[in-house]
Amino acid sequence: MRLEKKEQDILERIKKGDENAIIVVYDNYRKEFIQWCSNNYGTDEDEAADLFQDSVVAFYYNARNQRLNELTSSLKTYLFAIGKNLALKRLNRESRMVVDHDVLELNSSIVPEDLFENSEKKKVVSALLNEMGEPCRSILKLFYFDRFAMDAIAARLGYKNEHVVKSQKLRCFNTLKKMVLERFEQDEI
Amino acid sequence: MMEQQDDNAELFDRYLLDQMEGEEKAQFLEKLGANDRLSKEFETYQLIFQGINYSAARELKEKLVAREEKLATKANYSFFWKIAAAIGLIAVAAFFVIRLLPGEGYQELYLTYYEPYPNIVNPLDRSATVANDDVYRFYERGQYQQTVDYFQQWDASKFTDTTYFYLGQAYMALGKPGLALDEFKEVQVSSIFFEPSQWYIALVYLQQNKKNQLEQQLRKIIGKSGSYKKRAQELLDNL
Repeated sequence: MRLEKKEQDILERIKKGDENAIIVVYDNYRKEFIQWCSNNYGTDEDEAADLFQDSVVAFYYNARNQRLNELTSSLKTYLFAIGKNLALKRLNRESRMVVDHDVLELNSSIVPEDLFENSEKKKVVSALLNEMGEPCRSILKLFYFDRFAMDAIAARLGYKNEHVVKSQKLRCFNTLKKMVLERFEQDEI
Repeated sequence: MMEQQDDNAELFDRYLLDQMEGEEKAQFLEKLGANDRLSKEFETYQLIFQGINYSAARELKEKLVAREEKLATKANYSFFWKIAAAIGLIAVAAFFVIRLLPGEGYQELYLTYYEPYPNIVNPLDRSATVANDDVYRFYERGQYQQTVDYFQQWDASKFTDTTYFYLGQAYMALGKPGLALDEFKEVQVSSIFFEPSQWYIALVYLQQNKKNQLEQQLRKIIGKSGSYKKRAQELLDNL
């Protein structure tokens, strides 16, 4: 099944960097997801909302990574598949449901694992990134998470051209790396 | 040395951003496996990459959490008004029942005409963190004692017409018309709450069975030809 036009439009808006589109996705499917999640996995409303938020973040991340283009299902099916995977993993982790490993593996490719695994080291990097402030914080996030090209970052942040952003990004990354290594008191981690 | 690091950075970026395919990817992984120093450098690079993504994902999720709170507030707000509407219907029904029985003073009329003024202080766009917003949230939920307690903690010299009006509303809802009257009288003519304040002053007199003051107040409202004119005329006719 091809993506519906309305859904394709949302996807295009996200690809163009329209952040409001993510709110549209959230509003469009939130109620249905919460109901579905509660019915199928016995979650309460808050827990279902939390899972849905993670699902939408994963959706955004995949869309920016160009992974969603390859999908043949509807946006709703895609979102709910992420949600199902996240719900099963959580229930399994909290021993509230015994889940077959194969079931967990199914569709696992649509859930970016790294995004949700909150190791202490990642938290430290995150804190140091915030400590760095602007413009490094925005440049690094726009480049690595939002996957904007250098010229798009230049346009967004008001730089002269992509070469200036590229140099700045490299400086920012090296500064962050220095801070991280100092924090862990190691040459490399 | 620095140039080498920059080259590596470009290579690492290409791998981490899924821009490597086939032969190039295989060669890169082979190189990593054979070079311990490069492998360690990559591990650090990858951790920073993951940390940036973790941070950005958290930030995006916070936006959605804020959206959820807004939608939940909206739902509560809608629920509140459904309850208020139900109470209004009950009050109207009670009025017709009470009318058939011998009345005591103006209490039956008061029940008919009184209803708390809705919160119009930007009810859907308020953030959850600002103290000023919390008081209106209490009010919106019908938590009138908390509303009064909250207002009383404020510096009275900084009270505005809005503050006086909603403090008066809270007192009224708590059955303290005397205190409500003092607050309503503070609302200035220039305020959007002046006209409703005049109506609620009339309702205070109605509750206190002060016929002369009530009639005088109602005539004042009728004379202004504002949005409460019709209601005031109706109440005056029913006295």
